[in-house]
Amino acid sequence: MIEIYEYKAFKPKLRPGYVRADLEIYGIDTFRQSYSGLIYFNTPRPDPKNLNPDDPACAGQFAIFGHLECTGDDGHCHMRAPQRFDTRRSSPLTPAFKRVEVTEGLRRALDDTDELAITIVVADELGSKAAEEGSDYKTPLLKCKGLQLVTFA
Amino acid sequence: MAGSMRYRLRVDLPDSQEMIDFAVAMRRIQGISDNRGYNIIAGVHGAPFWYCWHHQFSRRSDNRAQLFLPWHRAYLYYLDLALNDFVEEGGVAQPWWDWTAIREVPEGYEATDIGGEESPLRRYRMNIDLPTGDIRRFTRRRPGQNPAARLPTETEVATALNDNDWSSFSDRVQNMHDHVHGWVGGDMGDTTTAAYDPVFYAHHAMVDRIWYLWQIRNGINTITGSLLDIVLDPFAMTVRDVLDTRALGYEYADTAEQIPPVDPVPVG
Repeated sequence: MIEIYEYKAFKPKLRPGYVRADLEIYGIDTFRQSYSGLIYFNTPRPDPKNLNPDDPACAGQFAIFGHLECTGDDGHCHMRAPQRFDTRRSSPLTPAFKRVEVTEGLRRALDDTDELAITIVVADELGSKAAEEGSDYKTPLLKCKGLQLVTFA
Repeated sequence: MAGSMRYRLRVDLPDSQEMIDFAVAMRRIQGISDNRGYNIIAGVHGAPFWYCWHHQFSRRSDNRAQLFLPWHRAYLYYLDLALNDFVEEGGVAQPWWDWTAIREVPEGYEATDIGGEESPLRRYRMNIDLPTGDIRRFTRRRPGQNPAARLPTETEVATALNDNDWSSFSDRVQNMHDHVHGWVGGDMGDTTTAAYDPVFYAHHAMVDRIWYLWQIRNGINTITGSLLDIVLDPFAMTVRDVLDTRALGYEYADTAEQIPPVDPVPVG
């Protein structure tokens, strides 16, 4: 399965002289199959039939180690509500956080424009074989609360 | 593997003595079904016990409880002890798969035979009782089936090693780790069953080695202070307990060759 997420172009509020830029992805639902993501800035939509993880136009990459199916009784994979005085560890399905360093990609993308259009392509191990494997696989792959672009001086 | 330390060495070819010795120990614990054996130890990570730490938050820490590296270090240490409970002399050490150099599942983990017997490293027959249906089958791999996935490169490892901020370093390593799980695919691509595949431990030894190398550069205590006293369930260890691999009895070496003793030559 391959999905493309195209975010609306915006003008990032950057100060000159940043030494590092991270694209943060937060609130990621990992209750699905593992997948990999390629991040593009200001590039034409990548051809999903010719994805190349070594594509030099790619600004960054990330991967999610997922958990496809619940293996417990009913409710096993529902996140429990926190209690007072609760020292137990958080649920393994607590939404994940990823930060991907995109410093060079961001500089390249904003070399001759002040607008940034983010495209993220994600794919699981099945690729075009998804249909053969049945419908147990979850979609969308990249289910998250949002992105954040952060720079550091 | 004599001496005070156990040296974890890179994954070698299936006919190397280190791999044969390691396979003997793995075969032994895979043949044990109680809590000394591989099936239970593998079940600590995903199904049915679910103790593994990945990209998680915790109310006990303001730092997203980045216990990914410490927890897996304790886990591999626990496997080390289990393996060596069944080795009479010298001991064995887990090999590490340098996926920046070996760009496929290593031959030592793909060969059908090691030391003239069926390899315990190619696959493992899982035996998991679950409410949703028991899993009783061999582990499977589907390497390279994700068109967006690839194995991390030497450059990415170097970038991580040059990042002297613990939190950022940990995120970088975890991302490389996630890539490898996705690239190997099959059972390795699902938290539920990943640790039943023997190559899981060679992958995690590489991850642990990167942390070890980072600690040599940055010091063993350069970790977020709020994490230090968190207990790494179900192991009776805190984060502080796993910071120094030498205190756990192992290091990562490039080579370690046994040189047999000789009798002195009388000269006087």
